[in-house]
Amino acid sequence: MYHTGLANRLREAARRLGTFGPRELADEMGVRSYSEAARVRDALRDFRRRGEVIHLARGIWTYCGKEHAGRGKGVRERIYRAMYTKKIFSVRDLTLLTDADESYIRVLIRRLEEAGRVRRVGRRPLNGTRRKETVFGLPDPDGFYLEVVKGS
Amino acid sequence: MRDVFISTQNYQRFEDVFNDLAANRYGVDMAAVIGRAGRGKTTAGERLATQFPDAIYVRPLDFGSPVAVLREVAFVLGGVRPRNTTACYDVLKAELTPNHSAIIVDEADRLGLKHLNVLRDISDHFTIPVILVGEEPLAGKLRQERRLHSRLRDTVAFGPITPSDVLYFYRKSLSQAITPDQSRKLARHAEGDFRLVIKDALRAERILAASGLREINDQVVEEVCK
Repeated sequence: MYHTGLANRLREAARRLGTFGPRELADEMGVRSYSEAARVRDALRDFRRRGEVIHLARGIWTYCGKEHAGRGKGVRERIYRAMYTKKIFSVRDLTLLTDADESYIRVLIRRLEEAGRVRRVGRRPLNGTRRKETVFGLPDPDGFYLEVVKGS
Repeated sequence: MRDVFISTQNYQRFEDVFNDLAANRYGVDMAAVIGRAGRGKTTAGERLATQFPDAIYVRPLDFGSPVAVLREVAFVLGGVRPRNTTACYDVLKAELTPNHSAIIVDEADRLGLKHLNVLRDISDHFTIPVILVGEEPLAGKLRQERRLHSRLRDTVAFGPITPSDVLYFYRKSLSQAITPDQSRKLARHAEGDFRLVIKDALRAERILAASGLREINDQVVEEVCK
């Protein structure tokens, strides 16, 4: 099998950038030709299919990590739907609604925060105890629904 | 304590009704889920909407007009909120497919009869099941109009949390096997409210940590229920 090393370069660049646009990614990778840019686009599509990167909104991508590759698209969709349904939520709320892994939910929230789709709205007591949990909200629920929930 | 969803008997009944409505449409395609606050109706509705992508979950504002209810449904389906009723119906007509399982309307007890009749119209015209979720006043509102009440295929009364739910909750979230007697006592203490069951479980967890005990015994339950 012939390896071009493109996937590893893309992974490294995406990890460094966190949230990125395709052009930004190509610059970070040092892409110089149109043919290479086309190969990067194809590779990005494969990464998305595997769940290693997520398309957050038009022109905005985010890297989730290799450990999340292969995770069911269904889980991510469930998490997005749960976020839209609740509008104001904590990681715990989403875990209860979706049965998803807490660490995966945290990764998604962090990436969505970077893209401006989710923001911290405060902290609240955990089930009436002294412990507190961070509460997140959707600054633009309609936009979130159209671009993230429907677009995922 | 682990964060796990407990499929209580109330939730199971809600899910059964949801599945029945989604699978079989006879023209009597409405249902009501009624219960006191704190029994987990909203969480159950949200969970069903999350787990089933073809379910439509809306929570209309009580100060909105009947058209506002239509607009919310149109937005979830088509991503637009048309201004008038006809345009909303057009969106519903274009977007609703037989694959859509049901429209779950939360806080339906705060809606007026006009709103509820709009939902009845949607159910009739598009043969889509509508599940109304709300507190006790919803039952009275539905009884006021025979055409609404007669369309209810099923009514799920969200009762108090049962001792078996408490037993299951302690096993799943705390990995503690409590006895049926202890679960009965804890269920009575929580007065059927799931939030109080969680608070009691946290208290029991703290007592175990402080005392060095490994299992919940009668003394721990006594202390929690004090």
